[in-house]
Amino acid sequence: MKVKSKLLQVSFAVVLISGCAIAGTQNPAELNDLEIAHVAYTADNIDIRYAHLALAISNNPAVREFAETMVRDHTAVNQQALALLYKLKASPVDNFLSQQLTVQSEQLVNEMKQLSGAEFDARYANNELAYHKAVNGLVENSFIPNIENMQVKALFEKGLTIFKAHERHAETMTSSLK
Amino acid sequence: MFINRQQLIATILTLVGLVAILLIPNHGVAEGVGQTHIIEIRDLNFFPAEIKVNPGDTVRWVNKDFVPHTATANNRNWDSRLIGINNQWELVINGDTIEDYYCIYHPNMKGVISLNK
Repeated sequence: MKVKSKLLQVSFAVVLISGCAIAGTQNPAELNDLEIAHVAYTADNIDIRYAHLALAISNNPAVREFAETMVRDHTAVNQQALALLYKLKASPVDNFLSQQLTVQSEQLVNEMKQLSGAEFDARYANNELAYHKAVNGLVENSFIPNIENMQVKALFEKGLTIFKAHERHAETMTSSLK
Repeated sequence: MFINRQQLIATILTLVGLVAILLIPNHGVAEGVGQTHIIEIRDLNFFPAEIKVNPGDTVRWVNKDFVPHTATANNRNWDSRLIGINNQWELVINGDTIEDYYCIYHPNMKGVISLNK
């Protein structure tokens, strides 16, 4: 199968998210606005789920503060996204990438549920850093340049600012656990 | 001495104007005590990031961002707690409150409050 460089870049980002090899990946850069909105909504909900797991398992203050921020911020961004879609009289559309992210997140949740203490904290923190790096790369390089609706694009640009701050916060959290 | 109608009206208008000037609050103008400083929170930053104040001034944080924030003194002497989207919080400045601050939820967001000299 011939692989274009752009597809390779995007596939690499997806591999980062999943942690496992993916063959025959479709191209996230070819998703339309409503599919992109669905991916973003799914990615937000996944991170909220990881955060709730951290709040259930971790006793580390830095991890708990980070997790609380993830719940708070991703919930707020999702509310803004749903409000915009309501205003545009549109609904997000399910797609291969949302489904891949969901399957992979289930696997990670099942793995993290078996952990506790410092082992859980390290796994959660490292995943948050990798997850935010990968998703931010997708949003910046594959989604924002291809979104057609200007209001949706503006929302994603604002969201990216917030999620890059999360990435920096995750770096700090990860360093504090070493 | 007689005052005619026009002089009386002019005098009254002048007095009303003087009273109005004294009563109108002095926002963001760099003179006098009891000034209100407005800090906008947007794009995960405090704007302006640095302000100079006098005791008796008020600092008002207005959250124009997508997500909730706080304004929390580095030494934890004061804390806005959660400032919701489109909400605000005020702090009256005294000797104990002149302190740099940050957002607890987003620790890289920092602000500086210092004393006018």
